[in-house]
Amino acid sequence: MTSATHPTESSSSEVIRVSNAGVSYRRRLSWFGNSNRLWALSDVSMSLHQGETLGVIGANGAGKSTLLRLLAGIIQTDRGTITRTNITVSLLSLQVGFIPDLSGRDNAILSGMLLGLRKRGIIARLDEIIEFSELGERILDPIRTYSTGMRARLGFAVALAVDPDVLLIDEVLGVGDADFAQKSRDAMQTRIQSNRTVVLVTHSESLLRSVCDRAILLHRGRTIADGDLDTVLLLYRRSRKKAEQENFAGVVKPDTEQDR
Amino acid sequence: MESSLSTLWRFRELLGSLVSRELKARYRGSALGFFWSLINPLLLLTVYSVVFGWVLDGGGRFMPDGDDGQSAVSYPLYLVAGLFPWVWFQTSVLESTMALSVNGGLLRKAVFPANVLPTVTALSNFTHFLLALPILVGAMAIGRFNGQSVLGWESIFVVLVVGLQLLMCVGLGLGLSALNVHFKDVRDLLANVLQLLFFLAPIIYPLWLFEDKSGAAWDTLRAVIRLNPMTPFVLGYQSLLLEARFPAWHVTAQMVAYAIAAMVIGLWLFRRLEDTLAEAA
Repeated sequence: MTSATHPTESSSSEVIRVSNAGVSYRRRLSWFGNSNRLWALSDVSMSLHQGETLGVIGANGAGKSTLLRLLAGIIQTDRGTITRTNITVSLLSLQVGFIPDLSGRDNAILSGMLLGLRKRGIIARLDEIIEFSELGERILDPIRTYSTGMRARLGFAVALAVDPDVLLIDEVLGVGDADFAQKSRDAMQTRIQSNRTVVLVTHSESLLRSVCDRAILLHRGRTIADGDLDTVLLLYRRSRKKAEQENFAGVVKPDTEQDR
Repeated sequence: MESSLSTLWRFRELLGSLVSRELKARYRGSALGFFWSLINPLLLLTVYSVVFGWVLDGGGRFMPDGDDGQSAVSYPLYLVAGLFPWVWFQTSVLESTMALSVNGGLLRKAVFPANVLPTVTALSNFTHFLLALPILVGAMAIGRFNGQSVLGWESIFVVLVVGLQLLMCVGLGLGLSALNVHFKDVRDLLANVLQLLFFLAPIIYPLWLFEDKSGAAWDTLRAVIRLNPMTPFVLGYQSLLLEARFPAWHVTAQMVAYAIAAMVIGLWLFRRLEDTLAEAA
């Protein structure tokens, strides 16, 4: 509690702090009152420090994707606070704003700008993008002529080029055919393992073990654990077991990934 | 309100790139490309001139303002002055209304102020209008060459009318796009309202056509036409271009009032609904 009262002074390496944050969706728009809200995040507290790789663990629908979108600044808190230092945060998103009729080059520039780069910045990295995506001369063709794999490669190369201070990753690590999937996974791992701040949402325990220092556990929109990976994973398995028993008791929930 | 406008300014680079994306995407893959911007209004103008010119006015010539016999303007010229701005208004408002709904994916993934999207649509439609302007000016020039008393130094002030109309289009686009995310009926309703407004503006007919008609029904009709958001703008274009005269002060005041009202209400409505957009779109 002593350190929490002066977050900016006490820990200079802290880049994001979330305190008792709640995010709700309105089921139906009402002009007055806050009735009929669905709390995707109800009480989340966490902090993120410079250079660390934080894992976010939780069952489907626990609010992991919502938390990433909150950290990215796409949505706002409805209660509680989020403070961040003067850094760029961005969610690794593939093929944002791609338009079939425009060339790969034009799409790369626009997509990069939508992900937060300045036009100059993305143009400076075009060669890098073309090389990584292995598109060569085809970069000038409209992307409707691309195969699905080529599009995925371009999307990944652009996302990789954005390179923010804090990178938020939601499950996507490898895309495209087998070779490129390996290449993109390697590139991502290199980036995560370098001295970079990353928040990673994944169900893969082996990946968590290989890259994460610390993890938080979300359960129905709350942070119920925050600490070293082994402890949090243990708690997670325990809560899964409990949930399974509940399911056997009659409350069967379909295990589908919630997109929002 | 100020902060909404300043975010738009801060993201002007993205705004510019998105506008050019929209313009490029529209013409890619069509053989005539950007010439459609010229051909479309030209075709529209021809059809309307023939149909309405013939139905309304067998001779194809009439006086838009009084019957002094000196300001005779041919029907196509009268039509072009109001029709082009109307087409801009209609497509801009309709497309802006859809700007958020069709870009839900972008709103959910990227970090930029949502008011950029309807503004981009309004600006790219504005660019379309500018591209079609040579036809309008060309028609006027031909008319003048043929001895009609159109255009004059006063006509240059048409840029102010264009500016006010742009403000109105952006404002309406902001408000309606945010509403349309939550109430999908807005678009269908709007399409019909716009159709109605077109016939309730002095675009295909001049106002004096029923000036001498009296009775409650005619009074109501005149009042509705006067209140139509596009009426003052159409009148403004017509007097500046066709008669080289400044519009009446109350017409000018109405333009300014509509433009400011659209911006203020549009920005307010957008802010009111903004935090739910990324979730609902």
